[in-house]
Formats: sequence, C-alpha cells, structure tokens
Amino acid sequence: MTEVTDILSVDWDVPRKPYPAKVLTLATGEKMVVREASREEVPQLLKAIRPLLDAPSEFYDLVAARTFAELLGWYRYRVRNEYCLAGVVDGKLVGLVNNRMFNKDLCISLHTIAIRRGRSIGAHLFAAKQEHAIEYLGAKEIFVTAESPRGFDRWMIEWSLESRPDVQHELGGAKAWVLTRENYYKNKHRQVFGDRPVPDDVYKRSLHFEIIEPDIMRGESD
Amino acid sequence: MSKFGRRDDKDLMGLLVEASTASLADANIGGKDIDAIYVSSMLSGELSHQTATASALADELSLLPAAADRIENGPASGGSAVKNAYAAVASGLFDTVLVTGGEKMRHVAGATVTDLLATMTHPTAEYMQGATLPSLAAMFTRLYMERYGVEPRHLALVAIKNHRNALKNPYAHIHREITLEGIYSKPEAELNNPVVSDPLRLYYSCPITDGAASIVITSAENARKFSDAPVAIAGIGQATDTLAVHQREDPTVLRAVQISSQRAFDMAKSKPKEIDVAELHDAFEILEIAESEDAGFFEKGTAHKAVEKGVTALDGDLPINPSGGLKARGHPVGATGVAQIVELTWQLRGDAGGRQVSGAEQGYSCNFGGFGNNVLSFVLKRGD
Amino acid sequence: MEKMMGVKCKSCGRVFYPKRSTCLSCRSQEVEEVELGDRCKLVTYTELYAIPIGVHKIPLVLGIVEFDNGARATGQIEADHVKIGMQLKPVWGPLRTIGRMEVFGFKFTQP
Repeated sequence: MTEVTDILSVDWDVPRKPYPAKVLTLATGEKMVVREASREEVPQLLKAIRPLLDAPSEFYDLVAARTFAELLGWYRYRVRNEYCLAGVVDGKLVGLVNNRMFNKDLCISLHTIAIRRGRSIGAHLFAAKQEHAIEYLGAKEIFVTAESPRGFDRWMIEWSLESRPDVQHELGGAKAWVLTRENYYKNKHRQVFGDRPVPDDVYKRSLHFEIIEPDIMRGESD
Repeated sequence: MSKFGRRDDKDLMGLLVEASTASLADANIGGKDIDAIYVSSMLSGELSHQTATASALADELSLLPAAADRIENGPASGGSAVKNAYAAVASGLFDTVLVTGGEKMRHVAGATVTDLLATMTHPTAEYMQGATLPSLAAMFTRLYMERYGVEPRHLALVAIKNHRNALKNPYAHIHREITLEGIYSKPEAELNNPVVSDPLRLYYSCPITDGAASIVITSAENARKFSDAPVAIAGIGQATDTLAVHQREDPTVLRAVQISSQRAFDMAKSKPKEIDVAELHDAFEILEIAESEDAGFFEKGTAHKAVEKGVTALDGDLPINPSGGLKARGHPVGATGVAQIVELTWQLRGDAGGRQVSGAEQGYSCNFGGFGNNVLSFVLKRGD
Repeated sequence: MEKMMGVKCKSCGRVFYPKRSTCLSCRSQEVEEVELGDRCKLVTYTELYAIPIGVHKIPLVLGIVEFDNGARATGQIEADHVKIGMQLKPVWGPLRTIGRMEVFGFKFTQP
C-alpha cells in the first residue's frame, strides 16, 4: 500500500555531511559564526527574509522570493538534498546561503542573502557554501548563477567561473557557470577563511539567533 | 553642515539649503547682510542637471539680489570658493559672503561617478588609457611604499583612526568602527578589504557621499557683529602642478601641497609646528600621509612612523582629521574644502564636542584637487 | 606604422610626452616633435579591478614608463609577468571605448 503523503515527498538521497562551524572576523572586528542551519530552523529563516519580498532594489525581492520557496520546499519535503548555512553575529542572523546536491557529484548553488550589508558578509557566506560542497560534500562541480549582475561579475573573476552555455541553471533556465573542483582549490586561499573550531561560548551564542531588519529595507545610509 | 551620507531624502538644492540655513543661523545673519554667495560643486551639471547652482541657491534662500558664482576646481572646489570669498572681502568688493559647497553623487552608479571624476586626469595621457583616480593613487602608493617603507598596515591605521574620530562627529557619513584585525591582519581581511587597484584596497580610499557644508565669511571688523568667537583665515596658499602625474620630476612629491602650504604659512606668519589641529584631504589614506609631510609637519618619508606612534590621533601631538577626514566624514566632492574649514572653525571655537582637540588655537587644512595638480592650503587662527 | 611622438625643447633639451606647446623647465615655446623610440622601462604599475566603463579586460594593468631620453608616459601594460624595471616597447592599438567610439593609442608590451 502506498502512503498518499509519500507520493511527492523527497528526502536525502545523497549522504548528508555536516558543515563544521567556523568563525571569522569582519572589517568591524565583529565575529561572525558560519554554521549549518537545520530544517527545524527554516520557519525562523523564512521570518527573517520575508521583509525582503518587498525590497526596493538590486533584485533582493526576487532573490528573497526564490530563497523563501527553496527553504519552504526543503521544510515541506518537496526539495531534496538542500543545505543552508547561516551567518550569525552577536546572536543576530546577518546572512544566509543555500544550495542543494543534485547528485553525489554535482552541487547546484542557489542563493546568497546579506541581511546586514557593507561587511562582505555575502562574499564570506558564498565562499563557505562552495567550501561545504567541494570539501565536505564531495562535489566535483558546482553550477552557479545569479539574479543580479552586481557582485556576480566579481565572483566570476574571483572564482574563475567557466561559462557553460549548454546548461540551463535550474533557476528558471538562467545562464549557468561552473565552479570546478580544480578552480575551487586554485582560488580557495583568497576566498575561504575562518577559524575552527568555534569556541564553545561563541558557538552556543550562535545557536538561537535574533531576527533583525535587513539593511536594504532600512534605506541604510551607507 | 548637512548630514553627510546617502541622502535619498534630498536633492542637491535641498542639501545646499540644509547646510546654508545652519551657517546663516550660526552667524545670526539676516538676508540683507549677505552680499554674495559662492557655491562650490564639481558635478552639479552632470549629476543633478543644474549648472546655475549659485544663482539657484540665491533664489531658494531668498537672498536675492546678492551676487552669486558657482566655483569649480574638482575636489578643491570648496577651497577655491573659500579663497575667492576671502579675496572678495579683503578687496572690499563684498562685506559678507556665504560659501556653500555641496555634491549629490549617490543616486547614480559608482562607475559613472568614477568616470566623471576621471575627467580631472590628463585627457590623452591618462583618461584615454583607462586611468581612473584610484589607479593613479595606486601607482602613487606603490612608489611611496618602495621609496619610504610605508606599508599597507600604515594605511589601515590611518583609516582606523579616521573611522574612530568620526564616531564623535554627528555629521559624518560613516559611523562604524573598523579594526586592524578585520581590515588587515587576519587572513579574512582579503575579502573584508578587497583590492580596488593593487595595492590600493577598499578601506584605503574614501566613500562616495552626498552632502553640503557652509560657512559665512566677513571682514575682521564686521566679524564681532555676527559671532562672539570669530575665527580668522590667517593664511591662504594655492599652487598647481603638472596635470599628468607621470610628468612630475618625482611623482612621490606633492609640489602643489608644498608650495601652497608654504604660501599659507608665510601669509599667516606662522609655521607648521604652531598648528594644533589639521584637516587633510585623505581621498586615499596614502594622501593623508603624503600631505602631512609635504605640508611641513613631518620629514618626507617619516609620517607613517608618526601614525604608528599615535602622533596624529585625537589625543596625539598633532591630531589630523578629527572630523573623520574624507574617509569617514565622507567626500561630497564640492563640499569637502568647505567642510574642512567648518571643522577647523568648530575646533578653534571649542565647539567640536567629543572630538574637540583641547586648547586648539591654530588649524591647517589642505584641499587637494585632481591628483595633486591644484591644491589649496589654509591656516586658521582663533580670532582674538 | 604609428610611432610614439613627443616634443623636445630646443632650448634646454628636455623631452615631454604627450606633446605640449611650452617647455615645463624653461618655458620656451621652441619645441619640435621627436620620436620617443622603441625602448622604455617600467617605473611603476597597478592592476585595476574597478575597471572604468568602456574598458573590457579585468584587471586593467596600467603603468608609468620612462624612455631613454627621460620622457615618461602612462599607459596600459600588456605583459605576462609585470616587473618594475622591465623593458617595454610602445605599440599602437585599441585602448577603450568612450561612448560608442573605439579609441586607439599607445600601450606597452614586451619587446
């Protein structure tokens, strides 16, 4: 007998490998913990990014809408093999990134959201998610795309992304670029940073995050 | 002054009015006392589609029929406007002049602003090659590092000092502390402080800012009518240098800073060692170091050591950029020269709040146009 | 073949690039065009990542070069390994676009 709820439900079909948390220093001297977010935290994450659905600029609204769907999809067992890493400073959620393993060799990089801006948070989290995929999940290739050209043009150079016109990224058929294992290791020393292990008290502080108003919604004077 | 920053709430005229209203109120001036208005704005035509900016301000502030001029000298527009006001008053042509500098720059793409600023460079020798101000500053930095042993760490220390000073400046653009770990010593500084034009990094150059600053200039005889604590412009100097940076005999020497500074001190019958506080033009942090030497405060090639020792910190022997400088106060191009004079005025009056340099009696400012091809220096003294 | 031209002051002998009407050293207006030649060395350089509108390679390598006769120029450097003091030669080529116009000028490559 088939359980009706199981017909559409998907779960992990690639072994899950956790991301060991790390801590890094921002320009301001603040310490950001980068740690994996659990499925149980998704409702909190959705609450954090919900205001961005009305963001005024820079494709934040589209990024937020898609990320919202991806995280909700993961929570409701309709998206398989999805991971989310969270950036936490002083107990506040300052950014998140997500991706999913298409199969054991291919990772699809999904989104990067900087809730607090002006501190390279997005750049650090983007790098962390590639680190997770290559070094811990064993991906050989990562498909990357972006909604906003701003920032993406920098990533293209910094990660030596290779254009793959034969491939459509699953984000609506957008153009895809590839980060190969080789290029990851070539660029790692200039992109991937952080110290492990995270000191106990710092890690504990990052476990329950506070939700803050995203900078772009506050019309940040910076 | 207006608040500096990203001012989506006002257009250029709104910012000019904000600052002008404040300075007119500070001087207790009624409209009929203003004979002329000088507005310094480099890009009001290109970015706000308005060229008759001074005429417009005279109208907007209901100061008609005062004389009015817009003055443009790149990033030294503010200094030029102050100088022109001084000359007008000293010649007897006008009694009292309002000087307001302002710029609105954040509403367009950064690349557009960079391109417009690059028009200050030599059109065929530099601009055509793709040179921008950051690239010229970068080459200058590299030469300076090789010749004098300045290291990126020194640039970071200047930036950190200026950010810290700005925390006490309510008008400043950036109110954010930065640390040596975060922008320099930890490996993650590579991403926190990325390369703009090697060896120049993000935190070693100033932001793009909206804002306006304003001051009222009158004769010494008149001054007590408007203020109990007038500040005297004791010395002014201006000098030019080659347009193309490569044309200079020694590109690490800012001749225009040296000469304009000498002229200002001569006119003021003063010397660098008598200066208690200075506002320098750190569009790039290397320039704070270089200007402090060429203006006469330190031996050439040694200022970075003074920075290390804390000599130029707020509590040091020669506080530089107590306002936060261009780095943290911000750099609305046409406003900066005037903002420097405003800060010195506050300092010499004892009105600088939490960033007050105690007992300040003489101040110096340097307003740097182009990449050092047109520089104005000022010496201010407490007026009694 | 485009040759890189400067001016030489007939009074004091100083050579300048780009061309100018008056000598910077002695203010004489007796200047004549001279070829700068094929040999120059790199005085300093930078790799610009914040490339301007109209430039399409990133990073853009810019440098200041010096010719044997003392004239200096600023320009794009095209070389595999950029090193201060390296020998370079001027070549004519496309530099950037300004508006929709392609602009040509001298850049510097390995001899």
